[in-house]
Amino acid sequence: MNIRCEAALAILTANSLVKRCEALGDALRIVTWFEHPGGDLIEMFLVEKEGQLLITDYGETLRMLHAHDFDPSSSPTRASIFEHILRTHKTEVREGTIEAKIDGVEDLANGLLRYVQATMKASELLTHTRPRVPSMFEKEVAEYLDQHEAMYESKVVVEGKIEEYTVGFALRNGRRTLIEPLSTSSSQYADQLVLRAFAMWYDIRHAWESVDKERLVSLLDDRNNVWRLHRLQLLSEMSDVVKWVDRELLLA
Amino acid sequence: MAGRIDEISISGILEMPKHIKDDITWVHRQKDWLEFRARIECNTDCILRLVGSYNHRLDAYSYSFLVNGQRIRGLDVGKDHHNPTCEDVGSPHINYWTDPHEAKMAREADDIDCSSMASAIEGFLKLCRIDLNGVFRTPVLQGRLL
Repeated sequence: MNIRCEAALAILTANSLVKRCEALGDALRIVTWFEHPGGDLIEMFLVEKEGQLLITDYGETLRMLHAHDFDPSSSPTRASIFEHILRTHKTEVREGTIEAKIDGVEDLANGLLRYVQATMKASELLTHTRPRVPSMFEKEVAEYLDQHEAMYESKVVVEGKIEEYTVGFALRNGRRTLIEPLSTSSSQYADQLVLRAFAMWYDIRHAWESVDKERLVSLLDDRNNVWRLHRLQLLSEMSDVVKWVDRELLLA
Repeated sequence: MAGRIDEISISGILEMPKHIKDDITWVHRQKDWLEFRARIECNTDCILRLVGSYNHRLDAYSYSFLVNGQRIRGLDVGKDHHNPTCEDVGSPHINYWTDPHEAKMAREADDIDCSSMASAIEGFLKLCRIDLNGVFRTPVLQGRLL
């Protein structure tokens, strides 16, 4: 190799990892040359708390993910991956803020790299999400409703007591029928889908001022044998559970 | 519209009449920042949302126009940006979708008055051709109007 160690070191130290540094109240704001997936530069804030030097993001990583409508806590798997990334790089999240402890100024460069790796990897979870597009099953449901000339809307926003939900379909056949299609080939994910639908119907029911305002239907793609009976019994307490094979019941 | 977002479909959505019927109100999301989420009404089978966030410690905020969960337009105030084509873009900047780089390109927001959060959202909604029928409420923090 023709490169000498001193030359390599000189090149690397001349090309700083940091774009600029400025005072921000009691903190130092350090803008790095590293990027979030959307292209914004990663910033870190150096603060001293009770004698301990800390690098913090002041919540900016989670705020950046929010700008892309991504919440790492929205599923147990995502939350687990998110926590694993932070732990691997000896960082932690407190009240939505990512922090890395450092052992004095001499540990600053090491701390910067740990922090940057953690925030980059955490924010790259964004690139592993799929855009929310209608699934094949939803398309099949829409085709079935079209074939039977049913009056319906798709992707209907319904308010629950706590939050709002986008429900697959709303049929207008006298009393409104809300239909949530559930389809997966994974039994583990099927459990999650059922529990999510249960929580959604529960919340929507609690927003009703009168009983039985709408008919609620969980429509199962039963071509995959992934649905557990005891879970479906739970779901049936909150909605009608209709299998795809019995789909004519939707129009009943 | 098919599920895939591209410049042609985005152009079509931008041309369509769109409105937000409700007021925009902020809620505390984390210790350092607040958020709002608003549904955008439009005659399309895509899911359209306007979301915003404000970091009161840094006085930095973002507005996003999302189509099926993809940020097709964004306004970031208080953040530096670096384009995949290697230009540095300062603050405030507007993110826009391109087919080769998706949501990663940005330009300076010199056509939007970002002197206040209210004027910034007014300019951003105009850019996205979204009518706001309700009221935009500026975040309130510890009894202080921001």
